[in-house]
Amino acid sequence: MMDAGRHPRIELMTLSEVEEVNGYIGNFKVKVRKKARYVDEKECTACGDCADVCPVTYPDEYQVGLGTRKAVYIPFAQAVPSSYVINPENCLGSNPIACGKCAERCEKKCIDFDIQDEIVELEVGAIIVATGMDTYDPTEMDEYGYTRFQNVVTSLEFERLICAGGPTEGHFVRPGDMNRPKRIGFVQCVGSRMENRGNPYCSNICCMNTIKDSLLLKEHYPDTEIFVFYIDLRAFGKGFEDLLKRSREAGVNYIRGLPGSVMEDPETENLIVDVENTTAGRLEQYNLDMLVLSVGLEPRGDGDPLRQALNLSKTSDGFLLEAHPKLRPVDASTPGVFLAGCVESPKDVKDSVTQASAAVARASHILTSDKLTVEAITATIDKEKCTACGACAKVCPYGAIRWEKKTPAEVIEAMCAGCGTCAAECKFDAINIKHFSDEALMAQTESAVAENASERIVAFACNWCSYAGGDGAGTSRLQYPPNARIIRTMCSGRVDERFVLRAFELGAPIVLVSGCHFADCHYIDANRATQRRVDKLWDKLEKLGIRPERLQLEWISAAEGQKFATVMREIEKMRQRVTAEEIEHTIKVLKEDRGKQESKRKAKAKV
Amino acid sequence: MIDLAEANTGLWKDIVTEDMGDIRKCYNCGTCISGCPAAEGNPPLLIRRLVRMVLFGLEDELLDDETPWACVSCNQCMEMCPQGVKPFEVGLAIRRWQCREDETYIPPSLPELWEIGHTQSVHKQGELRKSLGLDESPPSVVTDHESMANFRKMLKETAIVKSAPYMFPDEEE
Repeated sequence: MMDAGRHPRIELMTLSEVEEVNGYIGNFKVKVRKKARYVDEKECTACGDCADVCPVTYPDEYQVGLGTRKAVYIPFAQAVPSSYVINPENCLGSNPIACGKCAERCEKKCIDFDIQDEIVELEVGAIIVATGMDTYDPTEMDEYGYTRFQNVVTSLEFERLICAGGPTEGHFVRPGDMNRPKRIGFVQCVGSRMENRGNPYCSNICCMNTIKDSLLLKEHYPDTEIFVFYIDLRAFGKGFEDLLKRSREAGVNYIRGLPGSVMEDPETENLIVDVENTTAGRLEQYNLDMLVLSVGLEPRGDGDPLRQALNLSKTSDGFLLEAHPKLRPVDASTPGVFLAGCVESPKDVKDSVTQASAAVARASHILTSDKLTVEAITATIDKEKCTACGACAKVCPYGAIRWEKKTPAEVIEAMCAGCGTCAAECKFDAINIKHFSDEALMAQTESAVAENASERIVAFACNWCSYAGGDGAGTSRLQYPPNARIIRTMCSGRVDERFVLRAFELGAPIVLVSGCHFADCHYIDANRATQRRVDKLWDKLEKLGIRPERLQLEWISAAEGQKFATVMREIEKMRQRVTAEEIEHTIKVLKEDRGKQESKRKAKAKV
Repeated sequence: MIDLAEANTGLWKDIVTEDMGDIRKCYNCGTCISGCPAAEGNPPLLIRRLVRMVLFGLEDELLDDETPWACVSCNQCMEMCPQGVKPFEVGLAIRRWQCREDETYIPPSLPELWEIGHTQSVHKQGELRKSLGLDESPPSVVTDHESMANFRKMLKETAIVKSAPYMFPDEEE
């Protein structure tokens, strides 16, 4: 952190909050609130005289409450800038009657209670979100007695207790009586992999953290007895298994089974832990000097305002969602925004550094050129036809459409990825996609059923998954019926309801819409719009007396050539069951329906 | 040795219902047993293993197992299960299944209830109690003859005791 702080081309803004983000990739405008420190950071020499006279004492956040600090303090030794700061919530105030001792004492007169918050506006080209995570608070798991028993601590507290920079300066003691604990237990999966409390996911780092802690203890104090209670040890990374092996060889006891109850011996303050050793198949009881709860990681509780300012989505776990889990793991869904570290998912230092390096590389790619090359496939809006309803802005997965009430919508081309879901959503034909225009796709649809319509299958396939799946079926020499006419769109979200109805109206017996699996969509979640549209179409077909089964929806990935062939064979079987009368009826009904819609539109236009 | 080829793999569907949580989610952490008072009993009630037996479909073993009847209904296992399984409810379900499977089934805890008024032996710690200056038996229904007589009167009214009177001889008779 200090290195970054000293770097001539890096400006670290600590004690600051992002309030607003406007603009788009390459042209972001960020409003940052620089909170008042009440100490002139340029003048302060960090002599500490002010803290000496400060009469207020508070638990030190950096020492997770195991140490104390004053109302004027340095958050931690390597903090940037190296200057004292006053916490206005703790401070008694500037009034000389109330206090103001620090201002009086400071020789350089750098304490000023009148300093105000400052709003800084920045123009940046790319944004990397690396706001980190919180740890699980095990107080609600009352059976472990955290906060009831002094010698039950979290892994974070343990870290402070054994750290040379900690409240005990590295003398490892237990909080109860300040003696060195000789029998220590670690409980794994506290707040992780739990369905009813805590979080359902594995927190990734806790197993290795405990293994590291056990080795640290064995190195410093070889006579310590260590017991690790676990369900599964997940030592999956490079050198991790080796570390576990070393820990076992050092004599650390690994016991498979989680404790269900912890009691305290009132005299010795030792902890009596009941556990079923499931490998030995017996109930065991341990008398321990200290119990460490290996707590899991959680998304930050205060992360939502920033997430909303950047128009980012989160997963069901609450961590930020990447643009694609495999192909774009550091990109956020908003172009020009990247993710690094635990804000994206729980991860260790190495993974965080890897991701951060990738994010920086991705960001510098944008910053090093004056012009940004984007895919030529983008949306255009016909301002005359646009009614400013805003439907397009709502479905755009990238937030690339700027829209305000009563003014026609506008596409920010740098942000548009070209999925075309806006064009399919627009009821007024106001949006077109370059290279995948309504006219082109309609013409393809019409020519697919121009001859022998009753023998054709009209299949819409998305470029990335289903069309590639069809290619896969071809290159693997898989047999599938030759009467399918495949129409490629960039995304299944591009498939307009009108294309489907037009195909049926021209006598198509069966229509297939296919795209990527959910969460695998190459346009974040545009295929959700596909699902919604097909649902709507099914309702409509049913109302018109057309069998909804004649419109099929399938999710086929690029690797599923086999599935593509199977689906096509199934659909061919369905096609054979569609009778000539049925098709005739459909054509009639749809023509009538189109006539009605058109006369309605004309009537409206006259009004 | 257990032969899983002969196991009834659909057994769990007969025993558990949806409101007991999804017992297939159990990952054998053992939390349910380690706080369980009946796990200290003799023989111990090991609810995690009972859940395993249900999942594996070990019908014969489960039918002969008497430990589900030792549960003292404290509910601690339900509170602590990290996977949202309700081990206590599963235990009760096993009891019901045992009775359904065999019409003549008389729960082993019933004679115990008849005899000592508890499903768990309360006399086990007699000497320890004595050394602490306490009565050898705890003050409960066992030592109070009047209550015990009333309790037996109640038990006699239950269908299961009526169906097998030879199992429950009245000492006074």
